Amino acid sequence: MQQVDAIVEDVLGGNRERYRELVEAYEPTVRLLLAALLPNPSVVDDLIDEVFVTAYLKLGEFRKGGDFRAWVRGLARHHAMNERRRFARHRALNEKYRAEIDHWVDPAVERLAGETERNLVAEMQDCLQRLTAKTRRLVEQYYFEDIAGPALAAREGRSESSLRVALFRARAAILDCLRLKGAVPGE
Amino acid sequence: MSDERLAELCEKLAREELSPAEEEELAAALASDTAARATVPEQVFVHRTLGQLRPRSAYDPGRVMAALPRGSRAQMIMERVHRVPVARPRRWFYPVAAAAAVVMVVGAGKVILERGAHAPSVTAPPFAMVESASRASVVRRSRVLPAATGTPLQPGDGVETGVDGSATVQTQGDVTLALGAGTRLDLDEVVSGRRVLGVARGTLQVTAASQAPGAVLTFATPHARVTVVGTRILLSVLADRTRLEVSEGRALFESLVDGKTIEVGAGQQALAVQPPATAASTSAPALTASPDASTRTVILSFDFEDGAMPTNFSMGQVAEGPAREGSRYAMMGSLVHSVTTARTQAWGVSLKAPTLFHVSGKQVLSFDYWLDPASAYMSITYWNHDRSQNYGFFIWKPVHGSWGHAEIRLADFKGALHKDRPPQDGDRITSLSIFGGVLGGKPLFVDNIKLAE
Repeated sequence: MQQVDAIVEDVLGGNRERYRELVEAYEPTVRLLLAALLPNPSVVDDLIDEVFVTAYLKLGEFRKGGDFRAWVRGLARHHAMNERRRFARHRALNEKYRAEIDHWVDPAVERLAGETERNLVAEMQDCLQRLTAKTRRLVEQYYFEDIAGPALAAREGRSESSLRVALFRARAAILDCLRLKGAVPGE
Repeated sequence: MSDERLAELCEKLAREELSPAEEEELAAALASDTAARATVPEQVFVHRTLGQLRPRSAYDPGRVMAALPRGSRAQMIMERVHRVPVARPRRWFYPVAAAAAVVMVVGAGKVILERGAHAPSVTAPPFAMVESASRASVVRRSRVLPAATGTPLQPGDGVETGVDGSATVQTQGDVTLALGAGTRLDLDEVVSGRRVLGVARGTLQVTAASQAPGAVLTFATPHARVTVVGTRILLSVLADRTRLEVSEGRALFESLVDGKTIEVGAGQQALAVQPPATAASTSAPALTASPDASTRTVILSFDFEDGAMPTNFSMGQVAEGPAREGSRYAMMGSLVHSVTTARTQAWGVSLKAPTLFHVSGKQVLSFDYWLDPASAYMSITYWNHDRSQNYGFFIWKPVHGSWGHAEIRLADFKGALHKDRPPQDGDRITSLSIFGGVLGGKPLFVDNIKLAE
């Protein structure tokens, strides 16, 4: 986005309505990062609001000529980590092993969610359409219709473990498709 | 670990539903299994983001606009913004912030040291630039930053000194790294529980206190790996050789040239020298004109004739290839696990390392290949750590059904994501892959892989 500095200057100068342009431009990247880092998709929309309100309050700290996308992603990461801590407080965790898992997983997930300015959600939708009809239907029922694993396995006449592996391979195929499109970084 | 078990753990991780025992199981898999380290983040990423494809009404920016503070609070914020223009950097802010960061990093390192063996074993080590001459810089992703004294450093950063520059970096474990002129040091992340730092060129003086039990500190050069136990060493890296001199303590020196590992004690030296390049042995036409191979320095070279699987290969296996004179073994590709690319690029051979080599526009990659007659084309990619993207090259008219030969200048590779972001000399390359062949067809064979400059 070319005119970020001009918009920020306008907003700081009192033209509050121009902030909407920044929200519209950067909502997809914030959404993707929050979704990738959070276990519960239902909180994503609320956290997007929080991230952009925080960004508004801190707008004076944004450095002219800086990368607004990186800046707002930093705020989003902070909110996501707070939300995860809140979530984790209700669970028994083995802190040592948890730290090791986060060490290996989080940076890689962030890299997948953050290396492109393209609309990854739209690209992923296209990749979903490229799965076989049977696999796509499985994914849709599991992810969009909230049919739990045991119920879906029974409906499909297969074991839970076979369903789990089918979904595992479907996710791998979607990621391969995203890589082929150049929408996420290579291995 | 089976696909089924990995699938179960990935889903539970994505939903934060792992039990403590499952967390231990998954942590062990990640620490020991390269494939799991690639697969788990991918699975978590796709699982979580698939939820965003659920049919829903478009996000309404009005939600944010309605939530922004109004009235007197908004005025107060604006007044604060205008009174304290943080957007305009103040001279004192960044030096003070950098100094504070160094204090925090050093303090954190001290706390971790005091905690000793109770600290998590694979937490990324902190680094700090404690001294820097004017001709030094930090390469962070695709940006080159001035390396001022006190600059906080991150795992993944590269530190470079100019022809008359120098720098000193302090890291966790009471390790001091003194870079001489013309040196490139890569502050890598933890790999399989051990810290690996890359030294591409120049000289590096390492002063390390005895490392805590289980802590391993390794320096990787193009020709050798040096593992420090608790020591004072000097590493000198030239284009064709790495020299290790040990002043105190001891270090393990693993030559990547002949594969031998020796222990080097105080007052001793070790040397790994790459032999001069040999001329490419092929009668097949080259794809790209290149300088006389005999005048080049060889950076990577594999002919597989000992029949053993070299380290650093993450795809492929050594096998007897299609018959030809003077060569028995080659690297046979592994089937690519990808429903989208398998039709045209079914077989792959891949090398991976924290620092495989540092790219230069003068480098030429050459290899022999045997490709199924049904294949349309081949592709070669490398992952550029500093530009955070793959660079690729396609061989659109390969030789089919007999041994062919390719010579490709790395300068001819194109960025996969950002075509306008060319590689820069010195960028760190962490993987190199060759793909070709069709599903159901004969495997791809690759031989005499060589990267020379």
